[in-house]
Amino acid sequence: MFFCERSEAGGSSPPIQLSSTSLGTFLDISPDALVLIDHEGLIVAVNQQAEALFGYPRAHLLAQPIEQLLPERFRDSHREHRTRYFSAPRSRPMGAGLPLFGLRQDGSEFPLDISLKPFLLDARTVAMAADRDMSAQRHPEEELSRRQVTEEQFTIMNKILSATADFVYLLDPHGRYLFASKIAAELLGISQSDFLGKTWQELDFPAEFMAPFNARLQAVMSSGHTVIDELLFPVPAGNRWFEYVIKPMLDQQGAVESVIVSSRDITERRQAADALRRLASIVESSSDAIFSKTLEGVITSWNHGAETLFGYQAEEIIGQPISLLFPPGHSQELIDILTQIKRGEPLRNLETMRVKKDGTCVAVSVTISPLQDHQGYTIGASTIARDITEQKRAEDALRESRDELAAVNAALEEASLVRNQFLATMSHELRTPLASITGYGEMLLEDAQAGGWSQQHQSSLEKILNNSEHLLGLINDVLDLSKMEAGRMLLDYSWVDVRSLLSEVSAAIGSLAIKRNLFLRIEVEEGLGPLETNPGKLHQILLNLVSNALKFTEHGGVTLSASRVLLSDEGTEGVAFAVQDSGIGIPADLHERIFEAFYQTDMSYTRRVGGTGLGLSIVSQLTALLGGTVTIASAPGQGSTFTVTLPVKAAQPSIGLDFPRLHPAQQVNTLTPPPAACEFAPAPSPDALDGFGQRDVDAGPHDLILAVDDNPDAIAFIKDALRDTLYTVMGVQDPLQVMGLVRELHPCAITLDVMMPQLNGWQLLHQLKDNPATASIPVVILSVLTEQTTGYVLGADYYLIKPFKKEALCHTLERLLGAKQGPPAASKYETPQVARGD
Amino acid sequence: MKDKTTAQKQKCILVVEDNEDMCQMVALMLERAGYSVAQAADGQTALAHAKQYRPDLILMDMSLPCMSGWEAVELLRKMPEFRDTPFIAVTAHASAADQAHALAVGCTAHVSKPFKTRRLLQTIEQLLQDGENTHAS
Repeated sequence: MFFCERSEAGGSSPPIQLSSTSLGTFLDISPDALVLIDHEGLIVAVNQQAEALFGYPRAHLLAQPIEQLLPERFRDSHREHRTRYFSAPRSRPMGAGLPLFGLRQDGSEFPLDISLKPFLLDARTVAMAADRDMSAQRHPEEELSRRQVTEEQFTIMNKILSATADFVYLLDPHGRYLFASKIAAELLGISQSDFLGKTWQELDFPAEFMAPFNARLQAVMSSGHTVIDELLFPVPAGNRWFEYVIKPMLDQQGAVESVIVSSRDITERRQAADALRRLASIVESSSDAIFSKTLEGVITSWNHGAETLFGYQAEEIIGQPISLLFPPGHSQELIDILTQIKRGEPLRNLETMRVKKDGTCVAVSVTISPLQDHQGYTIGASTIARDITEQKRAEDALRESRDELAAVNAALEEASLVRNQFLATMSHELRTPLASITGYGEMLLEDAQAGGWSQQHQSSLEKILNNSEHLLGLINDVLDLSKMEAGRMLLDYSWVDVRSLLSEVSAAIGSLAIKRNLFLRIEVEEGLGPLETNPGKLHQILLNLVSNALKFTEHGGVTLSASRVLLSDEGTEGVAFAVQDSGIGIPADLHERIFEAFYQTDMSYTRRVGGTGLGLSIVSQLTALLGGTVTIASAPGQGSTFTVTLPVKAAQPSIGLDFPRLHPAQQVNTLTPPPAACEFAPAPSPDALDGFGQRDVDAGPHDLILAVDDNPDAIAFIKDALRDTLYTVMGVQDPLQVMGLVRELHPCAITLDVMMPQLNGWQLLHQLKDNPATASIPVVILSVLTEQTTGYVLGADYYLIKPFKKEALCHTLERLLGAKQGPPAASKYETPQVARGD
Repeated sequence: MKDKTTAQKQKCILVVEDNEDMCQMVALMLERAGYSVAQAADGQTALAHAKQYRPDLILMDMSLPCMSGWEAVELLRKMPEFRDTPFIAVTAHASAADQAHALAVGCTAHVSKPFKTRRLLQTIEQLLQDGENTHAS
């Protein structure tokens, strides 16, 4: 065969004649693996080295396509190259710049370096390829610098890594990037291909941020151990934290041939971790016990407060069951708690008991909240526990003292009830025999006077009567004092005309003055207005004082006066009642003592005069009850002046009601107590009643008066009395019809006689005031009886005693129904007797 | 001493009082004033004597044993014979509420003991006269 070199230009050298064996020997001389192929790619000749390199005996290679010696993936492109080469064959190295691998017979691959040279063999162009196994070469620099990722590897890796969010890089031991995943490149704003073959310094990554990474990288390179760390790095989106893993890829000798760097953005995670750390420190520093457990009750966290409260250190109790903390008998509670938590419901402020490490029980208040993962499933519970031992102690103490107080109150109430019962009984028991004594005594005296008994007999009887009166007075005084002390004396106030009140006192005690030959003078300051007080009690006060004064005076007399004053503190208006006597006087050092119960300056004198010794005590108490003061000015031999000062307007208009209304409905309508038609006080002044005026009469004519009396004459009288007014009077003689008529006609007022058959006035009054529909209609009681007090209790709005003057009725109605027609006239009704004991 | 003309029919008063002395005393007082008097010491007897004697006025002690004065008054008032009869309630230092209650159940007036003879007689007279006037018309 003829073998000659073929040049580029197309010429050739002089041919050499060789046998195929010789050709073979010639080829074997070369240290390189040589393969001869023709333009169709068929192997024409191979040498020994080629056999060894590829692992095939010659016979298997000859006349085989050269592509057989290449891995599958390279074959197509190789054919292309080959075809192109043969169209313009020339010497050149192949494989440089292109990743090329050879395929051994055993299937393994090795990096291949090829040099090509064309030759003519028997006038055919053949190419001789000198193949070199690059992996066999031990030239580090060159070898490493030529380490590359193959194209296919590149694509495959890209495909795989597109499924992960991690940023993946491949670096060679010099720190040159062999590969950067797509998103890794995007993260840094660099294209994937720009990474290749460059170090991070060459890529202009900021050194101050990369320094720690670089140190780690070097460490991995030298140690061959994986490293995990965190890095703060400025990416185009801003400074972010990354967690990275540098994993070395070792070759068969154990040296690092490349490293994989995988990193992920942990900025949010770090922020979350910081937040968590902050929370944890809050939890830790809290003095409350805070701990958490799984749904099975295994303790997973335990703060300092819990250590203090329960005595367990965190290390020894985490992982233990929560039941450790439950005292015996509380196992159901634990089950219930976990059940509720599993439902996602928290427990708040549950007061219960837990047991400490040392075995003692502690009272706690626990709030347990379910812990949920990010999907909302309850995975455990967190508990805050607070020691409430102190709190419980305080509560118990409070409860105890409350109970004590309640017991004391109950005891007091019972004592009070017992006392009241006693008073009532005593009252009855003491008065009944006294009534007999008085009654028989009076009868005897009458007989004695009529029958002309001896003076001695008469005077004996008088003494008996006097003493029984005295006894009655004493009983009343004692009972009154008891009532006042027990706080059971409640007062009803009204406006009182001072002059009238004083005249009544004078009338009541006048006979005593006459008997003792003393004068009794009444002086009332000019223009003194009415006083808001309880007339009954004031009368009692003044009566006591005047009576005392008269008893302790031998010559001269007593002056009872009333004048305007200004009360000391606020300058409010007041009235001072002064009782001045020309009696024996009281030494200054006794001025306070005389108000004590039963105290008397001179016992013998008193007995002579007949004092009870309680009078001043009662005066003092009653005055205080009325909101006033009592003072004494006296000196021996100069007489005494007792002064009672009361405010014009009562501080509390109605402390309570001595005359409790039986019908609460009525109280809603009345703003002030009824006009002063009580026993002692005459007509009040007009301005005092202004608040009384308009009644709430919703339905019905505004002028219909219903006059109820079984006596037609009485009805005629009423009609006549109101003839000149705008009122229409309708008379009703049958009391049984009254309720029905009232409901139907809604009169603006009703006059009511008391003494009627079948249904008396009281009962009717009671019915009217008990019924809310009729309670607001004013009712005037017209009766011969002096039952005003009880009348008011039953709900009467006014009370006129028969016989009364026409004007009285007119004025009464005007007052009740609101028409303003001038000032009311003076006292129009009888002054009833002052009967003690009523 | 009141002088009642024999021309007028003598009025009968029923005194209901559990204390014997007191009862006797009141009876005596009333007789001296010209009334005829029936006595009863408790509610049951009061009912019986009322039916028997048909008094023109009844003086009722409110604090009777067994049946209370209130009950007695109510029972009597229900009976047609006594619908018009005036009742005087006798109380011992009772509260104003108790007194009002007495009136509410049908008593016409009340006195508390010990009472002044004159006042009691006056009241009785007023009540009987008023009753007369009513019946007259």
